[in-house]
Amino acid sequence: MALQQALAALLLSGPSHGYQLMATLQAELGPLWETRSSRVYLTLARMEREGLVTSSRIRQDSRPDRHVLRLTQRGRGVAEQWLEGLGPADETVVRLAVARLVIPDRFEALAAEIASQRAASLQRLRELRRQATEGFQPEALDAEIARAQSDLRWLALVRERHVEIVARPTAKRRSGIASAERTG
Amino acid sequence: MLQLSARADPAITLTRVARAFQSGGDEVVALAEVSLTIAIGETTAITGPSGSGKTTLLNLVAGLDRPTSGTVIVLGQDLTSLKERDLTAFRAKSLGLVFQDPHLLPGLTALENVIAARLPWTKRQLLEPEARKLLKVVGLGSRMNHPPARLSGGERQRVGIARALLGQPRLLLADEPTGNLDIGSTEELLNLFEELRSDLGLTVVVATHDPAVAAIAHRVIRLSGGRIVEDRLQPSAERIEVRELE
Repeated sequence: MALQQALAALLLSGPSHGYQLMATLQAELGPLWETRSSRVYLTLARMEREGLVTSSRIRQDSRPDRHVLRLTQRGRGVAEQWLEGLGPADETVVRLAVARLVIPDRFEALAAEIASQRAASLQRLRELRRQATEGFQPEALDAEIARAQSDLRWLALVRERHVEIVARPTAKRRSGIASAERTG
Repeated sequence: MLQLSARADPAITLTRVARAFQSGGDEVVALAEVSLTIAIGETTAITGPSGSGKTTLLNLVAGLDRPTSGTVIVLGQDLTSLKERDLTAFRAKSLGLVFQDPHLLPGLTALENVIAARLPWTKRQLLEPEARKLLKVVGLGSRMNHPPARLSGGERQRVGIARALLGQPRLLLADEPTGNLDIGSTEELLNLFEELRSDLGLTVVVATHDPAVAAIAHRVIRLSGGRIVEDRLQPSAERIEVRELE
């Protein structure tokens, strides 16, 4: 989900390399979000082919060479659009996690904007719910209404705590999760 | 989205309204120099955490309280200049008030509860046809003769709304109206507010800490520490996310 955009957005704060980007995402989002290294490197390679990033090789004596990635102008546009434009509800957590790091001064305004859009969606869902009478439609809409309500309450909490959230240092490592739990 | 007309007289105008209370020798500022205008026909949500000034603001608009300074004009009437008796009459005639707990009288039926609040101003025979009609509007046509004990929380709140609408007020003020309701009753009540607004042309002001309730509004005003920290028109959703079965 939105891995390419999240990687591009992380690069808004400056050049980095694949491992660091992956480690940051894993550490910031914790055990509920999977970030596979193979997918990260494939995505970064595709981003380079598509002209979203450029890479330069840095030699290291005792370790493999490191590829430092920089956003191109086009990449910057993609990153900013994803971070601050309208986006799918299920990407909100990742967007705000990245926004906390790269645009901390606009974090609360972004949370407010997302909440406003979510409230508009909730209004529309309620309109549709008033008209829905057949089959499982009312319940399918109720499920989306419940999700939107829950998102709005969570976003209100995030906004209330924004000063503390933005001040929190960048996470250094991911908390553990039992593999049995992860694979079910 | 509702278009706000600059030409129409506003339903509510607050100008530099402040309200302070004395508490143990200290002055506690509940509302600090708040100015705002609410248009007729608009649904406005007043949000903010507990203690932010929502209820104080609503009470001032309802004429249940008087500001320490500033002016409160509601439906063209300057409430700060009214004597207590005139204020009570204005409230009874022009405003509908809905609270978290409708405080229904236990010995009376739903119908009698709707009528009771206006009996000092109007005869029962004149009130009853409208009360019956309103109970039907709020979906309680078959429960008019039930006492509060035989109604659910959502139904009791609907009786409270019918009571608030008796006498055709132009302004409906609701303070945490869904605070005691379960999820299903909350959604039903919010739908009812929207229907009432569009069918009766009501101006609705809802104070709520819950952003999911505030989402019914055209406009959301957020208070913090007795000040307005945000005032925004709710965008309308052009489209909603549609899932694809794969």
